[in-house]
Amino acid sequence: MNSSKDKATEEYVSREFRKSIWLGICFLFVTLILPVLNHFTGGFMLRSMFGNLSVTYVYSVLFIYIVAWVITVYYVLRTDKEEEAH
Amino acid sequence: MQQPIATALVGVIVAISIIVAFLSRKYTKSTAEFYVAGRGISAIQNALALSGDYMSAASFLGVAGLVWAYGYDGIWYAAGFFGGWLVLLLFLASPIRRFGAYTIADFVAGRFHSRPLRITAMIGTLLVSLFYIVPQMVGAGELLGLLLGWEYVFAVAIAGTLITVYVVLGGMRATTYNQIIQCILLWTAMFVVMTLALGKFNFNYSNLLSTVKEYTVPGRWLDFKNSFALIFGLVLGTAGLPHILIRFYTNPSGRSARWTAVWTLFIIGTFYMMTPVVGLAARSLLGNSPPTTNLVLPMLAQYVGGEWMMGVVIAGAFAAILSTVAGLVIASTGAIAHDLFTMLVPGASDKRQVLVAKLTSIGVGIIAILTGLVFRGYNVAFLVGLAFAIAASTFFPVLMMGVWWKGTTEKGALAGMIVGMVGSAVMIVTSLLKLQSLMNPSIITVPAAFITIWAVSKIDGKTPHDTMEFMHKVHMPEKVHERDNG
Repeated sequence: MNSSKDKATEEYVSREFRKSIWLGICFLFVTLILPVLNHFTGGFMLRSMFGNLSVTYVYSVLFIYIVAWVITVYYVLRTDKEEEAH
Repeated sequence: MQQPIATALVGVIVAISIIVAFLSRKYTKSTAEFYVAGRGISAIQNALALSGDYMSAASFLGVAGLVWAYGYDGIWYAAGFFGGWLVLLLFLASPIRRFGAYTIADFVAGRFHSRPLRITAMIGTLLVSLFYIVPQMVGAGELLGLLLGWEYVFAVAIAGTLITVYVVLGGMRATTYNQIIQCILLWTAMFVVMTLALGKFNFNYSNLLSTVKEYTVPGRWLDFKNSFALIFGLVLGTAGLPHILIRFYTNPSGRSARWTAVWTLFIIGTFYMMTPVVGLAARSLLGNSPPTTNLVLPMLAQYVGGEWMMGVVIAGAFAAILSTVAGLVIASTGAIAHDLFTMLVPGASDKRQVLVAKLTSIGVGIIAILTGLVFRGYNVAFLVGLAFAIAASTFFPVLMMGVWWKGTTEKGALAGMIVGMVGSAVMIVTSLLKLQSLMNPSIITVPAAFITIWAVSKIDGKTPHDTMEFMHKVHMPEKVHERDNG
């Protein structure tokens, strides 16, 4: 491969990686912080949020899913747009 | 016959599976058709098939059962099974499809041009698939045995034979169409049971939780260390499951592979959101009456919807087992008939390769039946969790580094795969022997594999000569490739 093509590929891969890694870290943080919060801030996490639904319960059965879906839609729409423009 | 309705519905599924396979038989004449359905499966079809493939007996029966048994701690499984899909979407879905091969061993061997890596990936695929097949077959035997009155041996044999027949007859195309039907059936079954169960609490989630308050608190089963390790293993394990990864090859393009992951995230997300409701409703309505965790969902279905509903759930569980094992049989067949056979007989004709694939599928089917008989009585969701741990440790690090870091070398990749695979297997065995208390080893073995790949690659420094060509192929959009090709 010629060097200008290599450079373009490298830049593209690097840009894609930065986008994926930040979104991935964001999701992993949201997911993996839950056991940490349960362990270190147990009292707060067990506080009622909606009726008998505690903070930790809402977090595990709803919030994680919503965050994942938002990241998914953002990532795919942005990547499609970038590929179109490329 | 204990459950005539359930038996009839299982019979309907069997008949549909065979008809679909029979109609698809003309599509198994080439290896491209047998392994990847000619790369002609659309994003939404693929998402439904992937969801069917992924939502196994562990998801359908196991998660609700664990929530019934342990409350909140069982919910970790739902969140973990779901979360892995985002990692897969962000890092691997498009590159894997753009590479355009048949198996995971193809991918690593193509990246590093290495025979030892191909063999290690093949062994890893077989190991993960075997750990995943065992609980499905155990689930089939227990479920059909206890609920339909079938002998355990007979139930395992029926399930194994049926799957083998439709994989051999129709290859990936029949497997895909069957998985689509099975996905719709098991998602609908879960939705109807959840709705009927919530109806017992005036459709008020809070009312349901008020009856089982002690089960909504973390810590009944898993301590901090094990809950963290479990979710880590499940999230990263999904992105290393061979039977899931190879389905991305069936997409027509990288963009289509991304949309497949998006639709799958919505289908399985809504499914896993239902499982805590069902598990806690079972705790509230059935108390301690279910004899095992795997029977919680069918018993709840009977309680809230009578014999018909129970029949639908048993049929759904049977569908979950069929769809998952079929995917695993295809993955294992690819590992042996494609990776090993083409390495031993390099010039084999396409026709001969298809014949070998079909014979291998029969062999894998027989092994599935035998392992199902040997591991009778093991916990379904727990065993699947271990398969995820091996997948996360063996494949995820090497795929991530191979796809995203051009400095990865053959020796680094090989060392990382061996550390991940052997390390996770050793830790699982020592955990089962109660020599250490970490139930899911990924939290240690995944970082160990990443560090090994990085360190050995740095020391080795011999990157493959065509690394940038590989990067160009798997990362650049299809439009760029079209321009390159004039």
